[in-house]
Amino acid sequence: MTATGTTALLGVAADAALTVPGVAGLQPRLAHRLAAAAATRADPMPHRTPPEAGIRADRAPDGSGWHIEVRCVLAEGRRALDIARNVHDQVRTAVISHLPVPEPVTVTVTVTRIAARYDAA
Amino acid sequence: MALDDPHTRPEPPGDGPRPGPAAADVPPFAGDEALPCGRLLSRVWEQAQDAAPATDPHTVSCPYCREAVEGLATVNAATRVLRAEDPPGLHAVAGRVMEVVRAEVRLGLLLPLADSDRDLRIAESTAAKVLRQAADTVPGARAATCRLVPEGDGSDVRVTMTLAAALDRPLPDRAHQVRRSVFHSAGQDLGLAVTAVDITVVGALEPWPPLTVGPGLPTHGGTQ
Repeated sequence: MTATGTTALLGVAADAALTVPGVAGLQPRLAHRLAAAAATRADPMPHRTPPEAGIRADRAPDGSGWHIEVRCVLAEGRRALDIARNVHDQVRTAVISHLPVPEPVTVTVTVTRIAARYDAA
Repeated sequence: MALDDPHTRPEPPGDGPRPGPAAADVPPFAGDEALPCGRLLSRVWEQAQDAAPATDPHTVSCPYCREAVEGLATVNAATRVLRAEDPPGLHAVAGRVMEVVRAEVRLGLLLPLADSDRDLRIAESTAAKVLRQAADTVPGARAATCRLVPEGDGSDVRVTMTLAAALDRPLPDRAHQVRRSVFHSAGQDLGLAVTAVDITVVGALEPWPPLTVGPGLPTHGGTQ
């Protein structure tokens, strides 16, 4: 899969995760947050982190499939385990549907934060 | 730009003295500019950086060299201004970067959620916050620290908590209440398979409102 294809894969996974009830957002990975922190005021455009920054997609070492990692922020009020399960299944289904040929897909879901209702947006 | 950056200036080979005017005929830089008086711009600038202009009669009297030195002074002044402005900006960037790094470290361990079929994890700091809140729901108890560590090869997790407790009831009873609340929240709010909750009481919770004793005033006391 090309770089463009991988970017599309990240978008598909991000969209699937964000549709799950109880998911308040995706937590950008460290590299993206460092880039945002290093952006200076002299930058002509303010740094904006896309939702895909909360997804990581890696080829299996033997090239036989994909491993997707999702870091998500939950809204309080539902059991974290139930939301994480839902995210796992939704993302896996969406990625498998997106791939042009059937390949094994594994998914890891990491809950990084549970946001209080007032800061969940 | 740092004009006096040692890496940007040609160093004479060896440890001997700096080259004299005779060496000025050898351009140290490709494209070095020769002034109309015959001196190389780089040499004039280097000399101006190193010594007072009055020490070289040629520089004092030559209009080309003087103009070059004045131009260098302008660039130096601009550099000093930029240097004075840059540190706050750099400090702000460094501060933001360090905050990101600290936030990553604060996540703590990634603990398994109670699902043997899927790879689901939760950051220790997030789980600990929920469990501290659960402990705080017990009257007369206030959680201080909460650590969680995986136990065994499955999804089991062990909780270690310190708390302050009011002394109006036996401590074992209150610790038991806290333990029950933590177990319940771990299962109900998080979905963690907590196998044990170790509790250490590290402080006494002051009664609230504080005792007020005085002539004609009622005495209040108790715990929150």
